[in-house]
Amino acid sequence: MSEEKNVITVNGMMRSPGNLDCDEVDVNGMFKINGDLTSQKLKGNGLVKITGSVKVDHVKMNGSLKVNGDMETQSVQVGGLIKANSIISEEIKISGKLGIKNNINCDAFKLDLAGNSKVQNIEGSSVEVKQRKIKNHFLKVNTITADDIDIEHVTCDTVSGDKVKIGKGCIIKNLTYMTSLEVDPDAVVKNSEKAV
Amino acid sequence: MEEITKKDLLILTGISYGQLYRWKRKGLIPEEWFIKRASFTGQETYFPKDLILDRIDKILELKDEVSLEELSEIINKKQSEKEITINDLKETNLFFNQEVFDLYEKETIGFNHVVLLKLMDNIYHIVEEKEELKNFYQFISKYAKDILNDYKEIYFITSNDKLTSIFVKDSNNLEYQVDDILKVNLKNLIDNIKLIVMV
Repeated sequence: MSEEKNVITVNGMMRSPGNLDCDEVDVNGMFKINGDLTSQKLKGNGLVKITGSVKVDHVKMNGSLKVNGDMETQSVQVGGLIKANSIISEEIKISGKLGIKNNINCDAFKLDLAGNSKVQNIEGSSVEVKQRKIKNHFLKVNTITADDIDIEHVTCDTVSGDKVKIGKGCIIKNLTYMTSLEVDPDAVVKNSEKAV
Repeated sequence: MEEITKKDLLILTGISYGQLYRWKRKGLIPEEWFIKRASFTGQETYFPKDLILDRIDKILELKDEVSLEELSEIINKKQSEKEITINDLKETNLFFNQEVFDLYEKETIGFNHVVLLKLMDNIYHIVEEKEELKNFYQFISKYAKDILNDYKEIYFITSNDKLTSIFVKDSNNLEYQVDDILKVNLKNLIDNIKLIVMV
């Protein structure tokens, strides 16, 4: 085997009519894949649309990443918008807007809110949602389950965690925690319970 | 089947949410075991108690010797063609009834046949006529590949010393009114054997 890598570089606009299997995808502009993408890396600026599912070890994008299917990754870093059916990853860092139809299962999840975001469930070991620059945006999610939870501006039905910090702007219906709970005076938690 | 809530599971086993979901991510705990249901405290996740406790025990036991990636590979990859010797298999303490080894004649054994032998081991106590067991084993070893790939569950019924088996592809809509029934879930059986034999 040679050490040559299969790299696809897009400058401008490109369309792939079917599944794509390569080592690296580098996009500046727009890339649309009608099928699945399998790669070690996906990086770039601009818009990437994938109609199938994504198996990419490392994703680093500025712009929009829209996936119709599921994403299976090691790390995801997106500045802008990310849409998918579900994400499995070790590390997710997003600043911007998020729209995930089903679950996110991720060891370390970080979201800097800029735009209203939505996801069905988030599960993992740490979940951090913050609002830094732009005000009045929120994340809507059904359940959050993780050991360390530190969230702001999140609307959620059920939060379960070990060490839980509910920051400003949160509206939580039900909360269970194990070790500690901190609630900002600006947040609303309807029911909270310590699991013994 | 008895169920356990996520919260109770964590308290009972001492694992963290992070570990639980990491194992789910790696495919070590099947997604079907996470049963989501509404409860008075919002949404709660339940697990089939015996299955999950057994699996977590195994993972905790193995995790110091084998990395999670390796464990995940073992449980998720297609069954290997690699054969092991009968003596190595005997040393795994996988079998309760050593008599089932009499059913297998060769010196080395492939993974599919380990599963079948373990199946024999699991039904050994319900079959009184051992000749029945032998006939049944001959039947399933003939169709080993098809059975293990295509079917989800096997139900065993005995009456008048006769062994009857029902092979089921999709058990969701199955209703039955028989008291003495032994159900074997093939996928769980295969995964558990993988964790013992292949490590």
